[in-house]
Amino acid sequence: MIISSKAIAIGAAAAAGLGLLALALRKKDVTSDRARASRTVTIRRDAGDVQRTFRDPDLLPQFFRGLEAIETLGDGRQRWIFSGSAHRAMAVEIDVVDDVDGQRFEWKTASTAPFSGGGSLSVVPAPEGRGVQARLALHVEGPAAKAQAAFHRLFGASPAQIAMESLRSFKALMEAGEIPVSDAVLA
Amino acid sequence: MRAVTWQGTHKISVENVPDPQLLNRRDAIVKITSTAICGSDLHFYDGRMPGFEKGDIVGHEFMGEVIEIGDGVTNLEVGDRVVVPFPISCGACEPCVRGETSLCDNSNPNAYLVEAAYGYSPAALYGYSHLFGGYAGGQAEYARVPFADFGPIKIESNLSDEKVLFLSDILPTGYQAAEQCGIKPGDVIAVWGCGPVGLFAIKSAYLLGAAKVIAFDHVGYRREKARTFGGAIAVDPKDVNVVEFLKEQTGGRGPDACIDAVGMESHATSALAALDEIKQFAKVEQDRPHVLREMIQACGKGGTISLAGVYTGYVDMIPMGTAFGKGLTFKMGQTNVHKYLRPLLERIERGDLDPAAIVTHRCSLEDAPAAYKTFHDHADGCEKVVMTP
Repeated sequence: MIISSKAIAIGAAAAAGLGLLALALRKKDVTSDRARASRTVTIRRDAGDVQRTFRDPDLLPQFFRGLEAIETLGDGRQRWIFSGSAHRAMAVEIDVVDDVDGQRFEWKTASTAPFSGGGSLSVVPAPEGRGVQARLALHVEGPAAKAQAAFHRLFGASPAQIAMESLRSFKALMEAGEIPVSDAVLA
Repeated sequence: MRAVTWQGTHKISVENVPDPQLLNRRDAIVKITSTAICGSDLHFYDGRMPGFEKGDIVGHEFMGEVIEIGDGVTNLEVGDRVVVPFPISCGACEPCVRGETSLCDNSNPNAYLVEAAYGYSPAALYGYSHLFGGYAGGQAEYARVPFADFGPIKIESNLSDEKVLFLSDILPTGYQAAEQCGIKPGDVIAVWGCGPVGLFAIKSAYLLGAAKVIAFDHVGYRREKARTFGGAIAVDPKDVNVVEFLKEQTGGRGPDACIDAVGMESHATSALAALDEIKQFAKVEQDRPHVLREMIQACGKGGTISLAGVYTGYVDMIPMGTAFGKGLTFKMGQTNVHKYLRPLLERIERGDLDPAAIVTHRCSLEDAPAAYKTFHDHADGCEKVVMTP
């Protein structure tokens, strides 16, 4: 997704007034010992399809914001290449710690990673006929300032925004077969 | 290509811009043959719609010929003549499957911007700000149509563009406004606003069985159109006490349903309406809800309030006690255009209504700046402008 910084500024300004109340009510994403966020969406697809698509190293970079590519290293270890907030690519090795078909995919940073963190996708059935509820949780451990800085180095955005945007693109790919693209990419 | 672009409040210009391209598998490119200016285009023309950037291509009522399709589009062929619905909808998410395509979960790539403001994101729209996706609009020579295998309706008869163009927005919008009133034979329906949506709401109310439609508008030629095209009793709200007038017309009951075809920019002369103007100017109230208040006061017990006019934010001083006490039902939302395309096309083909009858101005795309001003100023009897690229 590409959108001009000016449009973002205009949109953000428009959002500011109406969003203040919502922000005031929102739970803090950053605590004294870590930055974290989780968001949930409902996806009209089978639980197995949803979990397997998310765990696919070829597909995950299509919808996980800021993730450019995944290299599989063996024994559950992968190298995730992030574009980085200042367009400086950053590699983070992770270990897959839980991988249950149709239910869960969880990863943690390896000991070689520059920070400690991880994430998970949990999939549970939605009420009848509605597919599944997919919950994406992300966290970085450490003092709040350091944890936030790690998130911004990787993504250039808050944990909550990363979780929601990644889930939204994932849902679009699963349901519509493609991720929406604005004509603004041509500008 | 040439395209109509937003350059600022009351500033519209026609510019040379890059041609659209296929960006996704379900895209198509349409060569536009007719495109119209909508009343909701006046919101950004007046500078009341956030999220626009200089140079954005505007317009969401358009039709034309398919000239290119992505490999995910199997129901259209190059050369097909199509009308394009103004909401961009995937057809696969839960709202789309329910038929509520204006609430599509998957079409807005900038959903986080809208969510920050409203807490949710509806479907993306053509030419209607970066908040609603940043998609280029249809007041142009060509447009990219996402999810083309779900949205556009093929026109296979030889009906003229003007007879089918308004399937893209205002005809389904007026129809949905009437349909959500749950009209029963003998019902009296009141309609605020006799612009194009109001006219189609009036017409649709009769098609759905209303016995009488009473319409209000400040503009004389619009009231005349409401009488001649719609068959309504049309009144200038400045000439009557609207609530008392409606009681008089309905044996004291009030109308069975009230339709708002005005929305956020209503005008009135009351003290409360003047306060709305001041608060809107000071940006402490986004919309001016005069019509909404009046509908609640006027509507009969157990009646329905149907909103087709657009609201964008907070409104003050809504008489909720009256609404609660009367047991009113509120129905509203952007139009789920897709589900009305086929039945309304069949009505046009049967001759139940002639949408072309509301067109008062025709011009080239190059004349868009003057056409916007004429439409905005209610000048020259302007009810509806259709432009030809």
